[in-house]
Amino acid sequence: MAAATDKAAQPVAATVDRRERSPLGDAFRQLLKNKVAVASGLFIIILILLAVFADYFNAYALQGYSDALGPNQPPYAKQVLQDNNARPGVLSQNPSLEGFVYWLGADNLGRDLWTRTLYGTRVSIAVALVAGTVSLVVGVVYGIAAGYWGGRVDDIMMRIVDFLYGLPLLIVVILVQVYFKSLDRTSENASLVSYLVDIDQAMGGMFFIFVILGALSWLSMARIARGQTLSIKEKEFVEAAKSIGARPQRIIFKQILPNILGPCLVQETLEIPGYILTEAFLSFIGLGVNAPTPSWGIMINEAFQGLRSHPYALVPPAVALTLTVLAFNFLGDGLRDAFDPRLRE
Amino acid sequence: MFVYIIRRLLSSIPVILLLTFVIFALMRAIPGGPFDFVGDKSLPKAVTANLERRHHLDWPLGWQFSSYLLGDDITAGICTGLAFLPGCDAVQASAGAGVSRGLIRGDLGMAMKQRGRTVNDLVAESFPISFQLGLLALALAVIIGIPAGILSALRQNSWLDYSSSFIAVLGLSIPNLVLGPLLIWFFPLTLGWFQVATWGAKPPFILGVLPTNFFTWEFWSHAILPAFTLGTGFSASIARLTRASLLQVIREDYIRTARAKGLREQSVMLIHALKNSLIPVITVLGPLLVILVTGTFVVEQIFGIPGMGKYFVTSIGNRDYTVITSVSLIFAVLLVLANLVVDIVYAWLDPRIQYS
Repeated sequence: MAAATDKAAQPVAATVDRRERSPLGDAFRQLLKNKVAVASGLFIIILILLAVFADYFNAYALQGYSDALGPNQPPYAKQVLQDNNARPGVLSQNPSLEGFVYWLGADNLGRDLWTRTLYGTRVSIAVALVAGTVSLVVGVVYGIAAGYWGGRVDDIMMRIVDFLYGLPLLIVVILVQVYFKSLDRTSENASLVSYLVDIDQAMGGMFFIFVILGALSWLSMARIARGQTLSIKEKEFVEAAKSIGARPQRIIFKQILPNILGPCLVQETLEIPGYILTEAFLSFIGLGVNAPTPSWGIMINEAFQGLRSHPYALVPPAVALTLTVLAFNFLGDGLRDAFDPRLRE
Repeated sequence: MFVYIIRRLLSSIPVILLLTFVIFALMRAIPGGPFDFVGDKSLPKAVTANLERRHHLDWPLGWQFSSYLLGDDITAGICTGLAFLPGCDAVQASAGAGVSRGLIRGDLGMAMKQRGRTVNDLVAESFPISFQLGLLALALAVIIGIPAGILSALRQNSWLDYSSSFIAVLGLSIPNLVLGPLLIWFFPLTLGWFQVATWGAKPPFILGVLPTNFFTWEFWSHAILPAFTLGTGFSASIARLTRASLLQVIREDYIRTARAKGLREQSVMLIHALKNSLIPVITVLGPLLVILVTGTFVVEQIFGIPGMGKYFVTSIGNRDYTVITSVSLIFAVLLVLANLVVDIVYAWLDPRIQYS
């Protein structure tokens, strides 16, 4: 008892400084103090869980009708023509779905909107994670390489980035997507291309979107990583590491990478909404995932077509898309504040 | 300064040409051609061959690009002079069948899917509309964004600051894809206000780009919703940036000096702080213009506006090679010009920046 009060009487700083501290751990502790960012993070985690376990959380499974319309059909593709454009909260007219409630309504083919929105989460989350990871890894590696070796290498690498930066991104995305989409009609014999097309079809048309977005979105990451590397590599601790004979890979992985990872992560989080929106837009104009795989972009397009008579169909995908983008923006803002030492008390 | 502008423009030419060539070549690498189908029907082989000959699709890629850039006569001329170059026989065989006068003479080419129309015609009709929409959105973004940012910086940590910051994140996060249909549902469909689709201004345009009916309800009833859709996100990011930048500037020493010598608060803020705090805002206007360009594209789709954006989707899908190449080229040129203007405004705002 006496020991406990003694501890409390000690100055706080003395106990804190004994722990080993890393820049990432510090930032994480700071982030936990930001309620909005924590809530956004939780929202994203829930979204990921819903995406992974969509088979258990769709309306058919929740209401116990999983096999009512034949077990082999994925839930998001179950069409019930008697129930087309069912309003939110309406009971199904189909005899085998007696008692089934369309909580959010159904689309013009009688497909449950809650189920389709839920499976649409998969596309958006997958695009966010895959394109985010690819652009983070490629951009950071490229940026560190340019920044660390500098000189001529840096010049050439950054001119390439400048050029790619000048490309109108959306035009190139559409071009490449049209290219990939036209492949399935032309490739007949077994080759790498037809193999890739098979992968794409198995993923409902998501694979090529991953490839395109990942391949084209690492540019700003490379610039940030390079700039950070340039400033870190002049610091005394890097000099110290060099003077005791540390090899480049040790300096890069032990000195530079941990110190630049923070700003890069922040930037990546703030870019994720862009990937989600690009996918949604591609799907909106019919160049995204293949029907019947649901994507929020496709759903918004379908709802938009029937806006006059069935405006409620717009609500689920619109709310889902907005909340997801909002959550990533809040989380990114929180991360940025957390990584900014000037904002700490 | 003048020399600097000329040098910037000249140095951007190779980049723009390279970019145009990339689009030019990528487009032709996509399976399927412009003359495979007309509507749903396929054309007789002889007709297709004739059309392809007219547009030089039977030439090697390099010569096609040369025809696009320099025109048929100059390309044929090069081939007569340097006949040993590969592919020259094809060029000489059918140079006379073509109609390209070349980019260097301001000819953007013939549209392949719309018979008898030149890309110049299409651009002259659609570019002013995209331009008007983009300009309105930018104006809206600046008019809302900068005052909102200033207000929340001056009243930092007040309810005004919190609510405007919250609205800004909200505005930043609501996608055009959502906002557009929502606005259409709300105003024209439910309340009967404004128009659902299309654009109010028609050619001829003043100076080639400005609407003649700017002061009429016909123009604004079409323009308000798309401009608002496009401008919301920008105004939010401008507001956030203005706030952050102004908060940084008012902690600088020269602001303390200005206050210490007894200047009125108004002139400290408006003359000393604001001007300097706008420099980072101007920086993002460059990239913002880029987003604006691609943004119009989404909004034009939603609101059915006959601007240039629609050609990206339709002409890539149609394999209309000349249209997509020329439209991309125009956007590339616009981006270069936008960035140049931003740099010039920089130098005006911050005299320490010198271009030579």
